[in-house]
Amino acid sequence: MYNYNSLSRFEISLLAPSTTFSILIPVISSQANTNFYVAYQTTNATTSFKSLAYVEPKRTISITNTATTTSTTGLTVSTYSIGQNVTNLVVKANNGGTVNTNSGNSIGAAFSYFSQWNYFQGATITGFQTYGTCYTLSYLYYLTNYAAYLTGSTFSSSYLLMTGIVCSCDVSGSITTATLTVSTVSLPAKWGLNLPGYGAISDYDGTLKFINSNVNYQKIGSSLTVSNITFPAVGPNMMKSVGNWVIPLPVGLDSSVLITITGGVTNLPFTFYTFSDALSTCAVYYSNVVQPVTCTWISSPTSISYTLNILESGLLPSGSGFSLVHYGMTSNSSYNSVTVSVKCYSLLNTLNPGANDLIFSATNVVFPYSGSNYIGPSSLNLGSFWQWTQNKGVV
Amino acid sequence: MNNRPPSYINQTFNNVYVITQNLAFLTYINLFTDIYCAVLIPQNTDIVNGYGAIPLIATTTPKNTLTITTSNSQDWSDFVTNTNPLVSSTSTASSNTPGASLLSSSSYQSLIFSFNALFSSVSNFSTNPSTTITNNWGMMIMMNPNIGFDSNATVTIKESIATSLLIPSVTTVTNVSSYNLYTMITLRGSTSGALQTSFQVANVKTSFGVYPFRVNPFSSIYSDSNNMDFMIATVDGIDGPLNKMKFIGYFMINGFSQSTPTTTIKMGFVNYQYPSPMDGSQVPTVLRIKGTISNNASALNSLVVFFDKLTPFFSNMQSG
Repeated sequence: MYNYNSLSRFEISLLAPSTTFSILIPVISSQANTNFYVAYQTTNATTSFKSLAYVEPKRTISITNTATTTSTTGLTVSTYSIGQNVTNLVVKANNGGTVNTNSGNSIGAAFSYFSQWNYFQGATITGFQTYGTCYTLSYLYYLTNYAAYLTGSTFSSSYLLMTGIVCSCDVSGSITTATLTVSTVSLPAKWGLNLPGYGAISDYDGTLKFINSNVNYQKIGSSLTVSNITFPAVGPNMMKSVGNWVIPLPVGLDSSVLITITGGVTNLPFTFYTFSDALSTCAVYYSNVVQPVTCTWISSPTSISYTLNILESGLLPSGSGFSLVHYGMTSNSSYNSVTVSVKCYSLLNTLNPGANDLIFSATNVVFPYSGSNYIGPSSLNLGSFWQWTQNKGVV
Repeated sequence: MNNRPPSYINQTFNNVYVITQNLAFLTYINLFTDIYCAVLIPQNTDIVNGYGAIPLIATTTPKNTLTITTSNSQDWSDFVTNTNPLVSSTSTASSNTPGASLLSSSSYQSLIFSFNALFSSVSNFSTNPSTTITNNWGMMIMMNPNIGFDSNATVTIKESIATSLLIPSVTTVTNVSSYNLYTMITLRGSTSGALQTSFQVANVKTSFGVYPFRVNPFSSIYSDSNNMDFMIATVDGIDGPLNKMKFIGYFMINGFSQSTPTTTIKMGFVNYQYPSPMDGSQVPTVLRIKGTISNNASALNSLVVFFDKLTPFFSNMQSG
């Protein structure tokens, strides 16, 4: 027996419904058996007296099952590029089998797709009419390790606005070949080729049967190519000079990235003062204005890697305004022009990114070295760069 | 016992003489402060021989005279068969068959109580069925006067185990000028055996129905005069005197009147997994409620879902 005061409750405003309604509430449940009552609250038109006028019989849901994770559902994106605006994106809403059609209190048969990237914003979803109706919904996923933090662990948290669809199989569960079409989708760039999102198939009793990440189904087909990179001017006998990497961004950078410039087995035509000298540092500019983006770097004779800690979207939009300014470049007369590759990786999934985290790249581009005594442009326009001399002596 | 107060001799007191056997009075005055209780010991009492001229005096300790004596409710609900402890039946005759709920209806109904209450939780008398209960045993069931009883009707009781030996009576006070408004059912039994049809020595599910009552309005969702809470107490010696009555068992029921369920609303999960529950980082488990409202839809204000141990997310919205 479950008493009123031992139960929690949702109260959902629903004024005088005249047609069939369907309410979806994202929840976390960590038990095999869950008990429910659903009741209707009415308001007396004369006295405004509110009462629970109807209570449906108790419903107990008992599920013990672990889903299969080797299924194949999700966004079909292998022919698209990072950041591409796609028309009529196909979503595979089946795993090759059927589920039981929803009936009675068994209304759990559905295909779901959720992601921290909103693929469905402003889009029309078609193709599921044969099986049922698709609903879009979102929820805030917020998780911390606060209990562990109190006992000494490093604090960690996750804060994701999850958006997705639940397509209920109220008409038919024969979804063997079911696909959806999303009218317009803007594919994200900040995860590289690893598209965020999970597809799931649930049976009519609510049991989660299949779930898989979109990465395991399909990755985005190709990363982007960057061109017209302007390299820092390097030449002999540079000492602690200011170098300027101008990289026209094919997509905006909205989260932290790793930018690498590598010459393969060939040394780059400069070295740096290290941080230990406190004389070498980098900064991020956009349209000659320094941006609140933390820049750190490491280098070897053959490569240099910049980690840009980007905490705010919109600072670095696509276009030609992006530049990395590095103070402390040093060289001598022993260098030559080299062929390098420039790559930009997403750091959202890992701090050691690989090919699937690649956002854009340029390969076999020449990093020119001027062998004359010329050591750079006559001027460098840095909007927030100041240099002055204190306590100047008077002769 | 303290000595009498220093000012006792020189003060004029309003004296009330009460025999010390009147425990009810002594209990009553203990609710007040600054009242001196003087016990005059007979002169020939051996223990206090020689002190008889001086009364022994105690001062009532300061107390909040508005205190409410509380007792924890016992749990007589039936966990075994999952039956609501209080339901009603619109049967035209006295019934003891549990239905689904306490139904709001303009027709006469039986109020059916399904308890798992042992004899020992309702009476301190011997379990021997032939034991006579001094001044009778009683169960008082106090409820909202919205549960009406016609004064010219005859109340009957029907128990699930055997023909009832309990004698029911009903008092209902509905006059707005009355200080308290209530309906109270009293069941009386004169022997232990009379109780044991519904309150057995062994652990047995029983039920009894009392007829006829009208449960017309809906109960309130707020704490107000339309609550339909039922307060139940069992008493050894219910017919008094007051100082001989002994309250044995208490039970409280949160009663909610309702209409017959329409069963047009369905409810289930989507994406449920256990013992590795979905935490929402991939896809959420979704509680889905689907249906229609066919009865009294224009008055519908909201849906309420009662549940155990679910955790909703901080915010969500749905369209489609």
